[in-house]
Amino acid sequence: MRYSIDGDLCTGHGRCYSLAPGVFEADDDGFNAERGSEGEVEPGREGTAVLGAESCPEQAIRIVRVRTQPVSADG
Amino acid sequence: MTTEQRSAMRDHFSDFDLDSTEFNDDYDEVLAELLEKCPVAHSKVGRGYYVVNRQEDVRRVAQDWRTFTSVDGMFPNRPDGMPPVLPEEIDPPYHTNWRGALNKHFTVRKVAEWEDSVRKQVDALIDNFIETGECDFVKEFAALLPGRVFFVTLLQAPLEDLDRLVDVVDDAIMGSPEEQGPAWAALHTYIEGYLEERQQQPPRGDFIDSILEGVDTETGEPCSWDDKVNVATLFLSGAVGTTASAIGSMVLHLASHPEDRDWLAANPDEHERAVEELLRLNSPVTGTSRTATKTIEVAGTQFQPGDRVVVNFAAACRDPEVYDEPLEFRPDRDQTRSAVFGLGPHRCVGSHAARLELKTSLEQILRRLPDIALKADATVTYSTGLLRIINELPVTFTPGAKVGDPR
Repeated sequence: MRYSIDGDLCTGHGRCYSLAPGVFEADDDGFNAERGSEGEVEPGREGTAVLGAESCPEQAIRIVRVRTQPVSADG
Repeated sequence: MTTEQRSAMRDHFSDFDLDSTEFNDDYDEVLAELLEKCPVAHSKVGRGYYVVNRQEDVRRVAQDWRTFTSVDGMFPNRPDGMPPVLPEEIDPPYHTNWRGALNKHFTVRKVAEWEDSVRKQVDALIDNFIETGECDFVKEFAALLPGRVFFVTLLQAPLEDLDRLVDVVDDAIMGSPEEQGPAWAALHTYIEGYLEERQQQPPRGDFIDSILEGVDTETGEPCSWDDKVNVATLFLSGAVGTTASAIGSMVLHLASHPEDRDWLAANPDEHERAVEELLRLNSPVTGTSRTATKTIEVAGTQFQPGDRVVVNFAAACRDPEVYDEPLEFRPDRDQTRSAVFGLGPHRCVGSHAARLELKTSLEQILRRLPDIALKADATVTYSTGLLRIINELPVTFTPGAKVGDPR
């Protein structure tokens, strides 16, 4: 699972790193430290990452679920 | 007269008025009805304004500062004589410069350092009435705590000054339009004097020094002295009324829902989520105003350049599209996204300070006034405008002992 943080939309509400510490971190001004870039969720922390992302009031965090199952030819 | 009959006397969809008795008295019903049937309401008051209600639309308007500017003011009808409210009434990049200079004083990490000081202030206020077994929780606690925290932690100014200013802050925030102008001017005068004093002293590297240092305006010039005073004034008035409102609503919930009160006392790990949920249910800010800069459609309504548009944060916090059973207190909701601190570049810079004050108050109230309850014959009334505040909150509790002198 990967995520991206929209650099324009993040205004530092701080819900992501409060609810999903260890997945998201704060910078010195209270914004998401990876504002404007993206990263990989550590395996096993997917649920926490989704909670942090869904709690963003600005909807600044996009979660991308990477397919782990092979896709069949007719699927 | 029933609620339905009274509400029927005003058409809130085409004749909305934030300051009306009908909105104040039938608040929950009006917000629910707007969310269900009227994504954009209209008001005929003053120069007229629109009200955007659903969370998705509120987010869009609040985030898009180019289309919905803040420079024409945060009030749908600006009271006469009110100095500019900064940095609320400016747009990026000047706004961004101020936030860049001030955000660092309000981060989760920074605000956590205030915790001991906040707890002492909370205990000191409770000490003032704990032996009597009853009090007006708004007047004796909620209205006082935020100002005290602000003076001690941010201004680092004498608390005696605050005692003189309590009524002025009250008028500035909740006064009639005639009272608001002079009250803001009086606050402005106090803050200006304090900034002048601090300018003569060695820097402390605090919030006030960041304001004194100032930032560049959109033209790259250093900002004016007046702008610095206006920024500091907004922080004082902004911190007090909103947090007072949130504390009042939280305590009203505890005092009128003994089962939730006792559950919270037994489950301290749930306090943060409970604070978030109570904020969502009782948004202190109903909304603030923007002005359209071009022709644009939102939820089927076309705005023209110059149209005033209020973003209804209180409604956005109760949008049934986002929250199941939005009027129920459910601290275990699986996501806590809310619009209670506003959205977009102007979202509340002090949100973590407010959360700390609420959580610390909650802990100390449950510990020291565990059977707090609404007084038997009490009727709770509100005042509503851009803010919604409980007027009086008479409560009773088993008298307890003081814990000591905080200063």
